[in-house]
Amino acid sequence: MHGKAPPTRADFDRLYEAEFDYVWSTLRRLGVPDAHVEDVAHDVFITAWKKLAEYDSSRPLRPWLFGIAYRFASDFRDRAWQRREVADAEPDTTDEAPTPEGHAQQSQAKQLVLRAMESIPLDRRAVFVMHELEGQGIPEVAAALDVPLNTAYSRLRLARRDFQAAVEKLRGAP
Amino acid sequence: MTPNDLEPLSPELQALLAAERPLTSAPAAAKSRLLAKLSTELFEVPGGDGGGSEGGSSSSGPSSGPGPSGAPPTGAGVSGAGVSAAGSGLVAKAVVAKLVVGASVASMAVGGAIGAGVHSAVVEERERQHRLAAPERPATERPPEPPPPPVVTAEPPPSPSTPVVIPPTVTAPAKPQLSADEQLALEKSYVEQARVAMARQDPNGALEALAHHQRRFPNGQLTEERMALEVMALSSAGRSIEARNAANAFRKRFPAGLLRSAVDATAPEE
Repeated sequence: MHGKAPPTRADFDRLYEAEFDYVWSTLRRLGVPDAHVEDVAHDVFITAWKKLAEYDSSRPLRPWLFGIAYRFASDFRDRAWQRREVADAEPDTTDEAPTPEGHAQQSQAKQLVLRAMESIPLDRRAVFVMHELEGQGIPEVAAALDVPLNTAYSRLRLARRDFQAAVEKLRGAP
Repeated sequence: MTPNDLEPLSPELQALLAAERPLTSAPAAAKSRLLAKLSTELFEVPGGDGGGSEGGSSSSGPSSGPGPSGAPPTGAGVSGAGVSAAGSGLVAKAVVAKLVVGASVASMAVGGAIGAGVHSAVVEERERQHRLAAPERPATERPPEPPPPPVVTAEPPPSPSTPVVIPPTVTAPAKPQLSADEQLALEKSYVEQARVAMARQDPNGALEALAHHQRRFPNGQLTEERMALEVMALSSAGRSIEARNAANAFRKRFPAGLLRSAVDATAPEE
């Protein structure tokens, strides 16, 4: 605690309104199937609310939220593997809005990115998502995921390699 | 390992990633459904002695582990209120919960939106009735008697002619470890989800929440509210024949129900 006033219902509403899409997208990028994103997002917001009083508001919010989402995504994956539910899982596409013809290519590219990221182990993928998709610096990534700086760089290097190989495979490259 | 050791991604892969950088808009129905659920769990204490209040982050939140919750809300801040369920307090809560939801349902039928003023007034009434029904006791005082059995048996059995507008697949009763207090809170959360969905012009989202309620509480304390909302959701979704059948089932089961007029206004008796 930092001696500040406890968060209020209004704080929660603002957090939810501003960050719901971010949490939703993050969980999908971390491999949570669409059918389970809502449940996992529920746990993320519950935890974010419980820890909001501890959050240092001088720091950016999203890396902090990412750290929470990552832990729940990781836990979900562990449990799902135990239940053998996500073996050979592919990203769902059911909630994608219908895309106008002009956006079809972009939609295909998004699907390709999500499918390629499926092949990246989760600890590397978290670094990859934060850095390559969200533009976070590696020091911020390391802090959010609570790993040493060198580890974060190493995971990024491996994730890039995994990603490139997956894209080539999905495109049928030799 | 340093930044200099990193090989940059090719421009082609960079372009590919650019397509995924904008955030995906989450489904609106999921957003409203989850907000309703979280609001119930975090900010509503069954019995009305904390509903909508601020703060409470450490005491009213659920003790959820780090795992995803596939199950419906099991009651953040719900179990803690169980002690006050003695005597007539429980009945009062059931009646008041029906009033709160019923007022919202009725206001939806009349105005097509949440009657904020009505809702607020009913919440105040809920708090007042709760204070009357379950006066505060010193923290150290134990409740004199164990809570009475749930009051879910007062309703008639479901009519065999109930239309199949919601798959009546599993009639699993509420988990036996739920107290009547917790059961009512859970029922309210489902009905509230449906109400919020209706307010957002999402009748399919409402029907989904109502289907959850029907599966979990086929003869619950808020069955009347569920059936009334179902009529309105079906009507809003343009499923007029199903709405009429649902309205007939409602009238047969609750001929003098509080929500009869709202149902009649939506799907008049032929």
